[in-house]
Amino acid sequence: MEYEPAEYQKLQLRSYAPRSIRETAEGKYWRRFKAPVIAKQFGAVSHIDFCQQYPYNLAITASTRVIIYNGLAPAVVGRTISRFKDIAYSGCFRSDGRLVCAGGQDGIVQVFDANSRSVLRQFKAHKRPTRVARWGADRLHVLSGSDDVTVRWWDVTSGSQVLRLDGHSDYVRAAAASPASPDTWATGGYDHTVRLWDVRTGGAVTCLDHGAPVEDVAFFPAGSLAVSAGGNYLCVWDLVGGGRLLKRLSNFQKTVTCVRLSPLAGPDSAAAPRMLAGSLDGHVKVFELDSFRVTHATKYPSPVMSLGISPDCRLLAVGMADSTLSVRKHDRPKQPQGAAAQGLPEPKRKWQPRLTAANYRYYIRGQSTKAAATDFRVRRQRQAKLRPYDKMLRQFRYRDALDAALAVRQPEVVASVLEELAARGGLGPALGGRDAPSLLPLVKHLTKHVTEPRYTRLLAAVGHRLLDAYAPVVGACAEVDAALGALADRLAEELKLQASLTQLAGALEPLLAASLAASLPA
Amino acid sequence: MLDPNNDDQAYTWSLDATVRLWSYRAGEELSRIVVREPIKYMVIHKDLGVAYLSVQLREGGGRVMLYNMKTGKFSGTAMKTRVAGPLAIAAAGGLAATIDRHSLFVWRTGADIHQPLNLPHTKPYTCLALSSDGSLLAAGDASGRVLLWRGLEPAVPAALRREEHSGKAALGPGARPPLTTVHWHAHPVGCLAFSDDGTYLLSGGAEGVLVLWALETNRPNFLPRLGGPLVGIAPSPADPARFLVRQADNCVRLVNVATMKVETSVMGLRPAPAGLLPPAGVAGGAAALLPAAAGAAAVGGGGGSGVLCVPCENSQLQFYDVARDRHMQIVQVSPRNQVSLTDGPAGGVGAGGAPGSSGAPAAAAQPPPPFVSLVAFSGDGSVMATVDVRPDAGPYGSTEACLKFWDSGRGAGPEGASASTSSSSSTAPPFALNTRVDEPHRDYVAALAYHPTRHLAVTAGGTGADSEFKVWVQERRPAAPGGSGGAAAGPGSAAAARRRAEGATHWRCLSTGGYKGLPLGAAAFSPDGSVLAVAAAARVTLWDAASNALAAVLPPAAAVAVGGGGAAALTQLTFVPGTPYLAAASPSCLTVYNLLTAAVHWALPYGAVSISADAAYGLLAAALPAPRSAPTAGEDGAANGTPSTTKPSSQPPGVHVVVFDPRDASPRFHCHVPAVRTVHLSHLPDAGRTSAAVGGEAAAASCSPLLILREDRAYSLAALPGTLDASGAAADVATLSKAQPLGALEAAFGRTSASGAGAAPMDLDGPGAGPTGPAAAGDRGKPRWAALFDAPSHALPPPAALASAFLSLLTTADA
Repeated sequence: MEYEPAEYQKLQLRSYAPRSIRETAEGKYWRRFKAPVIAKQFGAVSHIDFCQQYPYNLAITASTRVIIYNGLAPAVVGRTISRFKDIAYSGCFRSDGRLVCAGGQDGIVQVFDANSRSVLRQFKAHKRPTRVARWGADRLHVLSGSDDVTVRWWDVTSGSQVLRLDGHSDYVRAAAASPASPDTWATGGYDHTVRLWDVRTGGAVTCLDHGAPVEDVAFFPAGSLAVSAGGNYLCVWDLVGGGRLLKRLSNFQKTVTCVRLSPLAGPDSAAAPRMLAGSLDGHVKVFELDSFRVTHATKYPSPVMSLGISPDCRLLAVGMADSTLSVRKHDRPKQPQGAAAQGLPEPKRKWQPRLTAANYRYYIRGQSTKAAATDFRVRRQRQAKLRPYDKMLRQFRYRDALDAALAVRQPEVVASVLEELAARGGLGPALGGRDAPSLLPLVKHLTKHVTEPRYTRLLAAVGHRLLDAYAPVVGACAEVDAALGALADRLAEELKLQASLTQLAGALEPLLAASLAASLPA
Repeated sequence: MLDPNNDDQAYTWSLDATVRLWSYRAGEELSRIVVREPIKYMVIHKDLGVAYLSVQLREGGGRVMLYNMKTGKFSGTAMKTRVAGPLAIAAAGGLAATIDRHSLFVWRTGADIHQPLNLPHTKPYTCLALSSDGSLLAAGDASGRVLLWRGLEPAVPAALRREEHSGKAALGPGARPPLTTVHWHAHPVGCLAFSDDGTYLLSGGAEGVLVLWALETNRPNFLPRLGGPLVGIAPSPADPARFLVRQADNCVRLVNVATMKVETSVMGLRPAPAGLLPPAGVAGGAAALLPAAAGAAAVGGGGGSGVLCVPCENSQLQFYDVARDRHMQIVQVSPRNQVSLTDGPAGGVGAGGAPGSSGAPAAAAQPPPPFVSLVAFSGDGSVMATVDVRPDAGPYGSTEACLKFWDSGRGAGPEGASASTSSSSSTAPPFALNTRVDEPHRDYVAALAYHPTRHLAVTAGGTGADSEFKVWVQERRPAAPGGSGGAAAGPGSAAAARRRAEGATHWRCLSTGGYKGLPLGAAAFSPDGSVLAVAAAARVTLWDAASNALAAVLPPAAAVAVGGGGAAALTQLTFVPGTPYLAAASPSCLTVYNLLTAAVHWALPYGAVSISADAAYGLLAAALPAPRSAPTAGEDGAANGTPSTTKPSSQPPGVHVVVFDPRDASPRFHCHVPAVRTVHLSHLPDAGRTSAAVGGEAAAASCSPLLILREDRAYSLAALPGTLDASGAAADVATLSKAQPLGALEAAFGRTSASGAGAAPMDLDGPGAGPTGPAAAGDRGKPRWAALFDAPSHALPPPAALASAFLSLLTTADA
């Protein structure tokens, strides 16, 4: 019959309900964009564009230049395209990464070679600054939108204008190509509208009223939804449903300046398209697209003008109004799939020297040989790896277990060990018999975490026990007395906070009751 | 123990002052020796053909008596002890020994009792062992030390016993045999045994660790984490490396000390968790029956009904097949190691003994070990809800409750029904944790009920004005979760992946409710799931299960039933299926409400410790503690009468189990469970209803089999005669392992059937299993077939159908 295994069961760490979105897997994923590389530019970073090909270079547009950074080394100052007479706008990679197009304050749309930086084409028709220029999906056309309220469709091969799209009544500030059809474009302008164009017919298909000057437009990866940014909100449009407003997201305090969609962002368990939006209030927020909830928010030191995320979700670049560019690198990037993975280099093969008896490894060769399928395998006994507190718990050294848990410096670990000790009846031995140096970490832990609601119940009980045990020796050691004083101060502060919160709740209650009574039908 | 002369026979001895010789091949009693006093221990000297008996005198004190098995006579003298201590005898026969608190007596074996050698010790002895050649004697004491004497044969006096007081003839200090002391145990040594050749000593205790001492070096070697306190070790005669280890958790393990591995385990129904009873208001009967359909398959047993789920120590749940009397599964509700709790401040720290524990603050009372207090199953057995209680960090024995929801680990596909699947299925846990809710109510959780048809559960609890009930509902997450996973984490990765694939579910609180700040003590769903009844102090509140709106309040019963007495809080609620009646039990009153009129239908001014409703026949079974003075007056008018139950006052008076008809408050059946304080009742789904044997019986006079689980985890199946098949009818199995004789026969042949030799000595009801056995219908006065016709004529089946049952009852012998 059965026999339950006699192995030591590791202490199961207590898992708490996440306190905020920071503690979810999603929050952990976005916080893994670490180590920001700050690059100072000559002016506000107005646009960031990532190349779709490995190594996912990024082109940023700031002041009178477009700078191309290597995606593998964003810290190194990249190639600068400075062939602009005035402020440059909207530096954009072609999908193969060879050409870059950009608009400018002088209205000229230019096409550069991304490597040699030489000017290949200049389209001169716009009368006013050209704030937006985008490559068509066929790589042969460029769409540009200008402050002269026109949108123009250029042929790169011939260097001539194919179409002029009229309809906007104010500055055109945003444009995006539909991923579903290469001929459909969306543009947004300061006339509060988002217009959908068909470049085959040269006319507007739909006009969507955003309600505020449109700063940016983006399509969802499937192409059936689009999002427009403007004012302090985002509008999600259902294009298949005839341009119906699906959702309005008012998660920002100030004007939303940029919005991007990343098809595969998020933790591996829930990788799905995510929407990132940056605003002048300095926040970049991440939305998941099932229920359009904010799953992560990052605060930047100055107004966010532009942002970009690389196709492999490894780099997150944010350009700010104080002319800084921040590029954060994810420490566990994903492997890109599909078309984006084409330019990926082959993994380098390690050079292996010829083994001779001159090398020590000659004598240990074959030790890592894999067993053949026909070989009989003897499974090695796995040694369970135990954390220090687990080892101590296993040996019933309760005080050492508590010390080891305190040394981990994670409140969940300490809470789990304390609960296990309480369940074993070992809390008394664990807390008792301590001298001043071993008592200090415990009191400090109590001071730090006793006011967190999830630990309050446990740590208050532990604190009571501790004080019961050590009350006779208070005054024996100055350090311990200071720590106990700090604990008392912390508790007094918390009590004061609770009192004022109670007062506030009492003051609010009649107001809430009155508003509830007013809202209910009589 | 085994008869040394015949491998097929075994001796048992019991507190009923008899020694019996059984043939366990034939399963029958061969002979019987009647001693006047209860026998605690016995050893047999093979060559001399004598047996030493350690008997506990009824008036106090103990005796070691010598019984000559050939002549069948007791020896003239007996050795007097203060308490009857365990005996040990060397297999080769030179010496025998016993312990008596602080003294250890060793004497030479012979046809009469010899003068013993007294080996005093400062700590009380707890156990002893003699090596087979008699050269080694080991004794364990209460402080965990093991004392070893070598070569003490010369020091033992050769004279016959002369005077009554043995200890007086102490020998001088020079003649005392050399003593070695080894110490590892932190708790009193529970059991000792020498290996066959005398080179190893095995010891065990409450730590659950089998310690193997190499006697040449006195070095210990350990087999840890056996799961429960060790109470006995017996060597196997066939293989010197194998030992049988008897554990206090009703489990026998076959240990191979050569490999230090457990080879086989045999488990019975585990004892109830020790420690404090749940707070007032909690019925404490966490035992639950699995739903018949899916439950049995989930825990890996064969199909059929009657899988009992009981909590046992260390937050475990044991699934036990009561129909086959077989252990099925153990589910660890909270993943913890089994540790023996530390003693008070004086007792040191744990088994390892942390140094310098003297500065520890005076510990409060021993904290209760963690245990599962409530358990409930969904109607299809796919979800289990548990509430487990574990001690808190608070200094005053406070506890913390945790509500957990479990998904059945397997699909509904039936496992192989044969007994051999148990071992294979034990690899996968039958239930996977879905959601964990810490502290669902302030302080404690008093009740847990699961909706019969929907995935909805309700808990009630909390103290004082915070008392409330919460309705928990299962929610299905979208297939791609948004990442905001709750506190839940299923342990099995395969199960987790499967759940992800089909859209994971989780539980959340749907609504809460309370009634006037009254403490809520019990909750129940009506059989169709439309009404939720929650007991608020002495009242019953009825709620709409779907909308959680208060539907009605039923008045307190005590005021109606007996004017005074005070309204005690209700502890249990049960809807009687098929009838509009709701039964409520409290320590002072048993009340049946009519839900159609929302009034008390009838009430009985006797407290009920447990009630259960019979789903098939619409009957109500209640366990009423017998009053200490006299048989109950209320049942005197009952048609079936009550056997008088005057018991010695030392024991609790027992519990009457009465099956009522809720319509007219008439008791239908009755039986008496002696010497217990509480029992837990539950009706088994009536398997016999479909069988041909009872096809002709009148439905009105029938009753589902009733499972009576006593507080010491002995259980009885009470059924109408004839509703269960004759051989297995009313198997009354005492599952205490204490007096089950453990001998080498079990090493060689496994455990004998529990209803055979093993269980009989401990059967507190005496042989024959009279009262708790088949004694369902208490109609001792009238013939058994009378029950057949005890029904209105319109409810009687046609005579053709009745005839066979009538004939069978007439022709079979009266029990």
